[in-house]
Amino acid sequence: MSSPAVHDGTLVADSVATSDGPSASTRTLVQFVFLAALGALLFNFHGISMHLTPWSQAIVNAIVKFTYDQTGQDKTLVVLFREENLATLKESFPISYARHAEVLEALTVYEPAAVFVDFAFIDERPGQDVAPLSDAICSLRASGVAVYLAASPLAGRAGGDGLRPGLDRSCFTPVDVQMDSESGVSGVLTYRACKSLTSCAPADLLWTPAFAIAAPQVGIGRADAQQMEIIWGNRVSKLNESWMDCESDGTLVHLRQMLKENPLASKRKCPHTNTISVVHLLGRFDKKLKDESVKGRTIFYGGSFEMAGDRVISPVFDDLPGVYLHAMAYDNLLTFRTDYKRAEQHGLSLSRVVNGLLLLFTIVLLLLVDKPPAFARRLMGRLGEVSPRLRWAMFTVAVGCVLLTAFTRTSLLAILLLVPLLLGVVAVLHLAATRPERSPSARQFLWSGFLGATILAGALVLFLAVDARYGIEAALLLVVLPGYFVYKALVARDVLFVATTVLLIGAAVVSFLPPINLGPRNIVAYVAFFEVARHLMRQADGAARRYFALRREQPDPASWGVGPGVLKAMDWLFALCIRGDDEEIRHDATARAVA
Amino acid sequence: MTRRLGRWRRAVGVGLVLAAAGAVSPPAPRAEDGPPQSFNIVGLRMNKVTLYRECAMDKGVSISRDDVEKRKPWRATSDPKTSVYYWVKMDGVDYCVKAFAVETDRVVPVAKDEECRTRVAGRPPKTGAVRGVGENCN
Repeated sequence: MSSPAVHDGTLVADSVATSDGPSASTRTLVQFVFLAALGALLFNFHGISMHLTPWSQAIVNAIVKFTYDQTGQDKTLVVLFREENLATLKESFPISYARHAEVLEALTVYEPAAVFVDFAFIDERPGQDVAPLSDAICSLRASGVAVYLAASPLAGRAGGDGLRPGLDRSCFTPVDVQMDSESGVSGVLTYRACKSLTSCAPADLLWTPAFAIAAPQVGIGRADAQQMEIIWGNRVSKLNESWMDCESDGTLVHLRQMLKENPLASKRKCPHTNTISVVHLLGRFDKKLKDESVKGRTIFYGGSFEMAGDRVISPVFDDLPGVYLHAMAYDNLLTFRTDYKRAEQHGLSLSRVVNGLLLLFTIVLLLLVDKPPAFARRLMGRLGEVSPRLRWAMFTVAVGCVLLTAFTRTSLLAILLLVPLLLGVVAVLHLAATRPERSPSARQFLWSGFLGATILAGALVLFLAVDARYGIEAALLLVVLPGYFVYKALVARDVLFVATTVLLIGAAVVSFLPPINLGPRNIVAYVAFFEVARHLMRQADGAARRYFALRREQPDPASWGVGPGVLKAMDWLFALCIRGDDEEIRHDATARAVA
Repeated sequence: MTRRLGRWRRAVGVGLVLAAAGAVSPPAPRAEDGPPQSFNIVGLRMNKVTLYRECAMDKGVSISRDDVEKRKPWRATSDPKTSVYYWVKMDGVDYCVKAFAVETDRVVPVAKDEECRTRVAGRPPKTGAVRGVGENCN
């Protein structure tokens, strides 16, 4: 917790030594600016955020695993043309128009609601007639199925969609299939609504496949469409398990990869989206397959070929064929409907605003924990004088809001939860400013050591058991995180850390819910920043106190080897690192009483 | 005691022999390797279906529902190598037809899915080339 120097006699003497330096408020302000700059540096550049993304993402994966709804999965099907299917069907790459036509004909028999073809027919092929393909598309359309074709990203081709001539444009809707870039090891996390990143309002802008199909179903207008942050669902698909090899790496392999690289090094082998191969589709007609997986569903027809590119890296699965990106985005739109998670908001980047607020909260807490300035103690101490009746009323309001959020479906969930969150922020700030330091007794020291070892051993055994049964994400969420919390609460006795983390998680939940609708936040990075900066501030405080102790012992500038001016500047600089102030000592007893 | 030990030795010996036999015996026959199934085609699932002479994709002949009506019961056999096509005879010539496109008088069994134990997700080997470069350049 705090350094032993905090409450010893040196502090009083140091305080006297710094009395000519910057005032407590100046020191707090400078420390605030320094922490804000450090935070901005670590979060914006290739730093803490980037390195901790896999851990945060793994926790998000685990939460999604247990909370993501089945709605989208039930209504989506990927039909995959696999590399091995080429040999089975005596086909070659690129697949002939006739074969594509055959697949679309088979789909007509199975009566889907919509079909997106993730093959772009750009170039004319010598010796191949495109008419059968065009006829198959039109016949699919004539049977009431909406057909979407991948447009070419190349501009200036015939028809504005970049596709080859000979395809009947009245039978399909061209869609933009441009993929967003990857976000570090997490892979692709965003999905455009249309070709443009800023606005989809112009009617001539092509939609992306997921938005083109889902927009009329869920009521998204061109003006409301925004870039999406994809939540990669990871529910089990019984259809996929019936034919795919879904066996994951062993528990010990997970543990080794997690320790050696990161928790995302070992990913899931089977996709979330229900999938069949073209061989399934072209084989014997299967009524069960039709009724349970194809009829009335949206079909994403794509390919998986060696040396052809078109792979998508996701935070949950090993690399998948690109068509799964569109299927997952569509799944998100059906699941969250108009409350799909936004990557960025119109004009103003709400995502950055929320990140900034989280950083601000973390910095304010950093300034208050361990050695709060006297003015903060005075301000937050007054909260302790609030009447018990008001306190209970606030508590009831907070609990009421949480219950309302849990049991009602409204588009204002985030607003409801904001009330308990803000009350929680005030409570934690009060706790940080007034909580007295406690030195552990000898008995407590031994007991903490024993407890720490027990928690570590228990967590390890539980990790292996949970990982074997539910996967590595679940082990992280259900064992590692609670284990660390228990350690911090019982062994390190760092209640503030636990309270801060809970609040940060609460803030992430609020920003996820409607009407804010942002994607998951990297909470692990904020918590790590809190811990690292706290450690740095303690070190700086300790160094400054040692400096002033030496200054007192050797006041002559000659013994420091510098001039009086330099030494004065050094005094000022080290004084900025000091935390707390003179009043801290005088008000110590008061603070204890208030706490 | 000696007799009991001898029994154990014999049991272990038999076990080892059985295990060795299992290890060297051929795998269970796949459905597509099994004998072809015979059945009748009783209708089409689409207005027109293409038959491929000797299963060559460039030798297609289109047939309609009326053509099937005329030929009913139209004898067909499954392909022992794939579940995608059935074989029929038309005017003494062998043709294959897409399995999904025809209605049969009984369910044609598929004992084992050809796609069994497939991996869809995975990291393909990284290469410094693109498939098809240099093909059909002219």
